[in-house]
Amino acid sequence: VRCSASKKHVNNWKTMANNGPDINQIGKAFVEHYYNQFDNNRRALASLFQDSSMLSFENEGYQGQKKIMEKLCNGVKFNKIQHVPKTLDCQPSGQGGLLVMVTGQLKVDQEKNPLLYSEMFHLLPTDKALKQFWVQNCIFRLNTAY
Amino acid sequence: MATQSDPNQIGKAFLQHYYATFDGINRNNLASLFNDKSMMTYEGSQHMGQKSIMEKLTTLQFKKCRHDSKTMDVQPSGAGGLMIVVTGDIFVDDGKNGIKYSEVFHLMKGQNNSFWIHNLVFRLNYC
Repeated sequence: VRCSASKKHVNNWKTMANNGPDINQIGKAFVEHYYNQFDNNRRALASLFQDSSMLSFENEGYQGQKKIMEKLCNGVKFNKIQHVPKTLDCQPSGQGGLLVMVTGQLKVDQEKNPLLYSEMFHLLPTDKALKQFWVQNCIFRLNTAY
Repeated sequence: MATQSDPNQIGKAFLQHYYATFDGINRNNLASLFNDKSMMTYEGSQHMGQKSIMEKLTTLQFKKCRHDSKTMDVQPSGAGGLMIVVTGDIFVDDGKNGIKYSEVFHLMKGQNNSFWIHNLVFRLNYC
């Protein structure tokens, strides 16, 4: 995964608060967890969404855990999906949260050629320890015409 | 830029202005959209604050540039902010073929009902 955290620049916003956790680590861990669940155990994603969560998925909008999970579990046209993230960029969102931007490949069903996608997550911490996050905003787009 | 209540209208107006200015004769005019708190990651290169951001955007390695945005998604980010995700093609110099890109803007409300860019992430999309 090409991360934007080159050693030269990483101190710019490495910590969300002074001496806080490394946001690049948080973003990387979140993305790994999210895609692992999405690809293998999609129902487990539910705990990441709350009533105010918003999802835009290929031009369709959904709000709230229930509607989002309905879309992700029952409304996605592919049966088998594997996310292969290639780039990861993280920034503090200025609202105590974390903005995470991913681009990469999507291997779907029996398709030989992977599709390209981008996905943006806006994460908010569930507590002051900044160990757990939930998804306030999620925007997914295919970059390959399909 | 006046605030309208519809996030999609705001997003559309913002993008039209941003890309017209970026692609136009005086990219320096983007400066007023950034302040000391703004952050930009441009193809992995991180910049904080108006000065560093504008230095990067005015020294990119192409002379001519044209953004052809294809999709726009807008969501409120909380506390009056707006998240905008754009995908499209970017044409540089006299290249016939565009390169696919995605871009994220996190806009915050400033004075006089205008928006400024708190976060910006730009990535080209290729395998």
